[in-house]
Amino acid sequence: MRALTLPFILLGRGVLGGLRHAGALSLFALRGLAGVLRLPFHGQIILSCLLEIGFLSLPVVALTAIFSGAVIALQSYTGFSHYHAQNAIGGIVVMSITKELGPVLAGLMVAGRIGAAIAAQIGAMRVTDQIDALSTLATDPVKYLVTPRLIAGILALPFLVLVADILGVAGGFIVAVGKLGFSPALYMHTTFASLHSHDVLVGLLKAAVFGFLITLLGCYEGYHSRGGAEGVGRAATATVVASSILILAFDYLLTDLFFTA
Amino acid sequence: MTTSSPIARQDTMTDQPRLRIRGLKKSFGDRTVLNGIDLDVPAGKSTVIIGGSGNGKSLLLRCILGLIEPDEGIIEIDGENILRASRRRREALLGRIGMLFQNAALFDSMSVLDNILFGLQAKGSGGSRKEQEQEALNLLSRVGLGAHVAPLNPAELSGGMQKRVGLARALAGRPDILFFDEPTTGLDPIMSAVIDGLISSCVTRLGSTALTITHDMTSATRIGDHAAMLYGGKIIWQGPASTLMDSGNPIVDQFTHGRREGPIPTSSMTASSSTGN
Repeated sequence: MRALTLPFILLGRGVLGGLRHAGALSLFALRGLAGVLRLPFHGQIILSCLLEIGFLSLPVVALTAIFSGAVIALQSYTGFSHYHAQNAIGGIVVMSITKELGPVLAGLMVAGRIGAAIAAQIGAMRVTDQIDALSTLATDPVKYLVTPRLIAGILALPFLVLVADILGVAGGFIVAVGKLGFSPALYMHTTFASLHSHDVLVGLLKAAVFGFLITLLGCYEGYHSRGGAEGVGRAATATVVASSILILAFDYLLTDLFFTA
Repeated sequence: MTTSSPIARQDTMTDQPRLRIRGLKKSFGDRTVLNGIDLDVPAGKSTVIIGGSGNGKSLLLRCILGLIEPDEGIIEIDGENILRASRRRREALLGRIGMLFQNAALFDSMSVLDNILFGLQAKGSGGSRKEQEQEALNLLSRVGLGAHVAPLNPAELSGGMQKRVGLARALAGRPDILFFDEPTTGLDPIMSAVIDGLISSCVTRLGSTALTITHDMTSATRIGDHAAMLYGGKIIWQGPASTLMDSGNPIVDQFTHGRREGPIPTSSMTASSSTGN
């Protein structure tokens, strides 16, 4: 009898555990966002987080975008030349980058670079009692540590994606003109003909959502880490894995919401 | 003057205790760590709580500080139950408290000076930046550290110096209640004596109320006016710290004299309490 019920028991436990985790994460997000409404306004910390998340992530995001644009141009040329549709390459590159690859690749890069760093920073503070020390100094640790990072994530990712959009198109342009022999004017014409403000804006909206998710998960996992250095390492790993999956899941949901209507 | 009944002792006291705890309970799953703590901490005195590892001493401190929500009980500061206070009121009460953590818990992203300035600003200390910096240097001087350590990062300091900086930060804003979580753990005997001296001077010179958690008997008798022992989730003994080494209670005597044989099974001293977050 027990053998028959065991799968259902395990399934039930898994579902309840997942729901409990989702509920705790949602409440944590609300606490973090509610910090915006209360003084003091930690402007200097927000600026420092913007620098860390936005400016210092520029090189890795820029390189990823340039090579992605270059690869799309190259692969599209190989496939489209069978149908004599090579002139569509500029449009394919700009649509792929602005709609999907810009936000998703920038999100994944930032999840690896920043999500893990946030989880490690806050996790180290947790296991060395620095978060408890904040509380004893009449400072709300969520408002002090989480709120500035959430704000910085929401603001920095769209900026990074805008740069990624421009550099991704530039990467495609370099390969198309430099290697495949396209006319620069023709390539730019097809690019601008396929460039729609709606695509760019939805891409930036996706980026803001991804920025929120990455910083939220980093803060949540770090804030709740325990068990010394090993616990901090687990928090960093969990942040990268969870935020990468959530980026792809939310990308699907937002694409379904904005592009299939 | 010893008693096994803290509540009976309270009835004989004329002054209201600065900190009063009644029936405090906290469990993690099916493991009860605090099982009805009754404790009075008199104002302007130094109280020491001793007990073995894993007996919930640090958990008790965290409950008092509001870092962990107890399952039931009363924690009063000057007659006001902080567990029922609004968040704003609780923050105001916390503003009267200074805390030195076991590992000092200095913010490692800040310099020594900024750590102390953070304490001053968090406690609402007024004045210009220059005045606050001067106040921070005064606090450093009070704990026996020169201005040369102000620009250093906490990682550049020895354990004893970190404890002293932690004490300077705890003293920022002139708190009238000070908590010390195992202040001499990991320090050599000379540095332990220095830290003990600083704690005693906070009580005698500043008139603060101090509550220290420790299992260092030398330190407990040196800094304590009153002492209590936590065992099995309860305060099983309290009395003058001067009688700590000769309490007449077999559990306290076994612990203070470090005997293997006695009513405390050695297996109960190995488990570490899970304090959660």
